[in-house]
Amino acid sequence: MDKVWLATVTALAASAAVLTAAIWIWLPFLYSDGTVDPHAGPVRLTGGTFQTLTGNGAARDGSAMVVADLYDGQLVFHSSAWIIADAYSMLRLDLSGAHPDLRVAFYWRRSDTVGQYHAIVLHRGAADVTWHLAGASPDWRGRVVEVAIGVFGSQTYESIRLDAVTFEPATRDSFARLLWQDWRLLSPWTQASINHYRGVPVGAPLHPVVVMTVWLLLAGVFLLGIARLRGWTFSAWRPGLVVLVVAPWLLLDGLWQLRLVDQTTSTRMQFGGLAPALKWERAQDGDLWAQAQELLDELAPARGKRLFLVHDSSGHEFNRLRLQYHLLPLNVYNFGNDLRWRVRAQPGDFVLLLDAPEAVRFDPDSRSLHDRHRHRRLAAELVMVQPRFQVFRLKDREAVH
Amino acid sequence: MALVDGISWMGLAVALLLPWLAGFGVVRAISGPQTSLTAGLGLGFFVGQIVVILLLLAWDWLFSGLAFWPAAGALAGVSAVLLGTTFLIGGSHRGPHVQALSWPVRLLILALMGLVLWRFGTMAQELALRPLFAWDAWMNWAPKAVVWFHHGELTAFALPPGWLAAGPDQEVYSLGNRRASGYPPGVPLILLWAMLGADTADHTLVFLPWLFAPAAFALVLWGQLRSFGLGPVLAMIVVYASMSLPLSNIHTMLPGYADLWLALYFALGVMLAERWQRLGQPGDAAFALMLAAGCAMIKTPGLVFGGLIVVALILGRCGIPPRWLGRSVMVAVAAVVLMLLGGVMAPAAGEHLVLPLPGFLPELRIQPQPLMPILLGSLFVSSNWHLLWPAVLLTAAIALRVRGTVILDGVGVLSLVLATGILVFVFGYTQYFNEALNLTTLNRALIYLVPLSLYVLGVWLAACQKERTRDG
Repeated sequence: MDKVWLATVTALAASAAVLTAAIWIWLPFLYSDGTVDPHAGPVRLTGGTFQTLTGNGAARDGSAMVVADLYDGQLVFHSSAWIIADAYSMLRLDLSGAHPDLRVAFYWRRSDTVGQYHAIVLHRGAADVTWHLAGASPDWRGRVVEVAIGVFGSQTYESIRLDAVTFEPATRDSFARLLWQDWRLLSPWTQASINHYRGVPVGAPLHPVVVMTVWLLLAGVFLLGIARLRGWTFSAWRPGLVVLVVAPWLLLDGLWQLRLVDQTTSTRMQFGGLAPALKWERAQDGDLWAQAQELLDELAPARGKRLFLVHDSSGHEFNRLRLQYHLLPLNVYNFGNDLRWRVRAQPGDFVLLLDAPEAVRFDPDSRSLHDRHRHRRLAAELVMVQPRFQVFRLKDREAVH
Repeated sequence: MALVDGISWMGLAVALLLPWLAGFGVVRAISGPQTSLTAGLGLGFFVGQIVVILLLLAWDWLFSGLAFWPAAGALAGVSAVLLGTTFLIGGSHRGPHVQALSWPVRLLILALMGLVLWRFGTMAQELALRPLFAWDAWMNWAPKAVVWFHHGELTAFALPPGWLAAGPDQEVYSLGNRRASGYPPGVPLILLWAMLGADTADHTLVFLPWLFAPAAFALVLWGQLRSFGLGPVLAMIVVYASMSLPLSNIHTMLPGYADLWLALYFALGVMLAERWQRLGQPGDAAFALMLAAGCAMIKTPGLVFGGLIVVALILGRCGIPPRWLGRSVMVAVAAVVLMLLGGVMAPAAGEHLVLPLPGFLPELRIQPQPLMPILLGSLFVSSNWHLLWPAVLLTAAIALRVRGTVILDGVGVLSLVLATGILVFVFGYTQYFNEALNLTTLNRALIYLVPLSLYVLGVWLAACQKERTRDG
């Protein structure tokens, strides 16, 4: 039996070696056209050479640039540069403190294009040091004379620190780092997360499940070969097959667990230690939640009241549906972008216009809600104005046309 | 500590544990000592959730309103009677003879348990920290529970035309998803029970049943596979596999969807139908029927999957020779493969056949579609399921070689293949192909197959292990 386990481990190790070598050789074809950049020393722009276009509380800390907060959801570091793009396809970003939910982008301007900026989005998960293939963009060529790093989102939880932006030639080493990043970096939850777990960013050339399946099959072939050479019966070496499945499974699960640890760390930073109401304030639509609470306070008690929610959308739209949830237990009719339901409305019902729908307007002179062509009118009075919505109360039945 | 603010801890604990206890009492009362402690505890959780759904429906109907503590008191009384009776009758489960385990084996099992617990803890953190996030949860399922919690009664929900037609004296609600008001009440009631216990409709911990459900299934899986004679290491590997799958984990961490519940009810129902086929204990048939009803109470497709459990029950005990079940599996597998190939090879047709469905269900527009590449991508390329599907295929191939086609002679495999065929038909031959194409629904539907696949995989491993034991 010990011989079978030894053979199994040997098969796993040998197949892993063969597979790793094959991927190593194949890497430039996976991420590029099969070539690597000629050797050249890296070009390193320390954070201190950057200036902030937007952002609050910028200060230099040694060679780094530190910014306390975003300004209006944006932070942009920029610097002049002199880079031969074709020699430096790879970008290394040393950026810390940016929550994974924030979007980060790299911008550049070439000497041959005046006033035209190019951009790529950088997938950095929860890592402080990440590599990115600028050379994948057709616009990364010629002489680059200005570079910038943009950080976008709604909230920050700690200072954002830019240590350096480094340009390096694309080599097998750096392609290997890209592959590792594809497999390892966190992709924070989105509304699509519940439907599908891709495991790699969109466009990644090699999926871990495929590589692990190939490893499993290759190891199976090796083990079969050893068993044939030794003259073992199938029942003798069959337990080894379990190990061949479990080993790559554990690796895949390890990658998943590392991402989950990053995710829970990120979630704890956002919501940890907060009471339910404060959590909602920090959610993606915290502004909508807060405004909904104002309305609920105004209409309390909610029971017995009805509200028609009007928004410029048909089908399932995030904001209108979330507002309906935040307004519970208010009784909301959440369909349509006009007043077609008006014949069913009752005096005392409420109408909420979310994000200023095109088709419905309030005329303060006639004190009525009307559609675009003024064919449908409803006598109403303004009850509440919030940044995202207005609320009206319908008046007596005689006034409802 | 902010996590405990504004919540009745005692009530939440009662809401979570009492149905489990009651369900365990029902399991012990009906199946007696035939069911192992782990399988009984796991099954008890799911039976308990069904009991809660029925209790809330009955309470509202009888008393025109809801009251948590009186209902909990009634449940506690029933639990005490059931467990007391079981205790008085006595008897204890005799599991498979367990040989003393060597230290390496014990360490291996402990290591796998450690991984399971680590995952469980990680999922618990995410569930407890993040306010309700997943789309359908706040669009379809949680709103009913929130309204019912605030009103203290099961206020009616109507489709949009019904809402508009309601008179001033009628109180009806409508959801933002047009059809969702007609969805079954199971998930909102599970949630409502936790809200009533916690005395709040706005707390992450009311979603704890989504964390307990996969753990309870793991207990049943362990118990069932051990009763089949599967060794502890292999059984633990299958349990670990069940707790490690990314998309299933996501449905726990971003709780509120119905798919995980339906998947687990379906798998458990078929497992008990197969147990009834094997052992002939009527209690197993009763639980399978209960779980079939549970499927229908959880989600509309549960009508179909609950129906499959009933079919499994009938086929398992109607005297059909087992080899005919195996042949049916082969025919069904061939049909699924042909359906997939047909979808790829069929010319794009402009016309489609319309298949009306009863009630508020949408009509089906029948047209072959190229589902196969999308399905293969979801199963064998994306990281949804780690290596589950290669492992299932490999285990099937080995079991077929070792034991022959006898491994197909069960209602478990047949139900799995039939369920696969139904999903291939829905996503490969109707307008729901679009939801496979944009990956909104396909993988959520594939979850329905996952727990049952793990069980079938474990049964095949047990079959191979028996053969090996006989050899050796």
